[in-house]
Amino acid sequence: MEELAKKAGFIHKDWDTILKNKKIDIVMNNEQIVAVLKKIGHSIDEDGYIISSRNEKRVLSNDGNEIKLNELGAVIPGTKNFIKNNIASFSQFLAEHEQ
Amino acid sequence: MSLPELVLSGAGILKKIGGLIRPKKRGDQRALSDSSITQRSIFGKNEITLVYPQGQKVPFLARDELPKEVIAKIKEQYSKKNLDVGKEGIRLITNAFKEDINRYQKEYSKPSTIDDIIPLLDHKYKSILKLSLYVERLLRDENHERVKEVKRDISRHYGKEGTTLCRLYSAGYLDKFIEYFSAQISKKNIDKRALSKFVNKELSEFIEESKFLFFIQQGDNIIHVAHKIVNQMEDPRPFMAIHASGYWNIKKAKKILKIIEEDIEKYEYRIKEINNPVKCSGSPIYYISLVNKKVAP
Repeated sequence: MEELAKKAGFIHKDWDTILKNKKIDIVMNNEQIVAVLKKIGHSIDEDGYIISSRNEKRVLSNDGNEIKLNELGAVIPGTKNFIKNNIASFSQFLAEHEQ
Repeated sequence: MSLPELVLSGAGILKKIGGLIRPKKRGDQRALSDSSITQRSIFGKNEITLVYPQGQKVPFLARDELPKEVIAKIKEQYSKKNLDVGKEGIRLITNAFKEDINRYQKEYSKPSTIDDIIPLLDHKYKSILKLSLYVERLLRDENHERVKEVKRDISRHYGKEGTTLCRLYSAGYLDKFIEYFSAQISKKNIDKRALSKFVNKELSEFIEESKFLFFIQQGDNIIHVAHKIVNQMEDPRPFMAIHASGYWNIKKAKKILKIIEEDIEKYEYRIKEINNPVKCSGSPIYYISLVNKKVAP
């Protein structure tokens, strides 16, 4: 595995070095993101909606609507941080946060 | 600048219408889309996580679950209220979405004609206009499939308001608007807060008032559209326009014109037809303006 990764041209650094960066993108499949969300206290209800760790309610995407796991595009720290798999949802996020 | 002025000025300005890496060349990766044997072998595993530290196009590969210290960092950041998310933070991105946001973010940060008025705009309008610029770029690249997807996304996220603003931009109706307010903002002693309030109000009203601009699209019923146009004539509107792009939509627009022929005369409108004012990505464009003779003789 490590050998293959090396051949494919990946950079190899330890996590301590990686975490020194201010901005980091972690790219995973939906299931892996759910696993991370669960570890930080979120959950998924029986209809597939993401439930907040803070108030046990369905989280809202930045379009103001509840968001299902299969609609998820990205999770970004901060408020209104659940971005749908929709470029307009991401654009709205950029408009609110990027200079 | 009044609304009719903006509309009429726009009418003449239709020019606008219109993770993995390749090992051979770093920085030119198309994550998850390469099929070389090495990459296939890696992506045969389901538990792969790609991590892109700031500014790096080459990812760090994580094989197993994220370690505890990373989860702790994510947890800490996600509960922070004062985090400057534009400048810091760990973003979790689905692999299906990564390529889309990379392309968009690249386009988003390019200099553009709307840069001067950006500081005046509400986030919503800023985002829709940036998406409209993206649509324009995709059209130039003849990426019609992606254009459809982006327009669908605009409609889903912003509803009719988003679709309308995007169409107004594409049809050139906002050119004079952008030009005018770009000049205003550079003036000395301008009250930017008041100007911003005014610009957003104007945009909102323009969108609201654009009911008299008809953009013919797939699935439109010609009788229904013709009926809507005649209803507006009864009002009467000083200016109306019909836009169509592509062979079938143009055919529809011409049929609509035929249906409302008598009403055009009855309600005293002057027609101006423009065929192919500009060719946008190979698609023919058709534009008809209807000006009320009584209001604008």
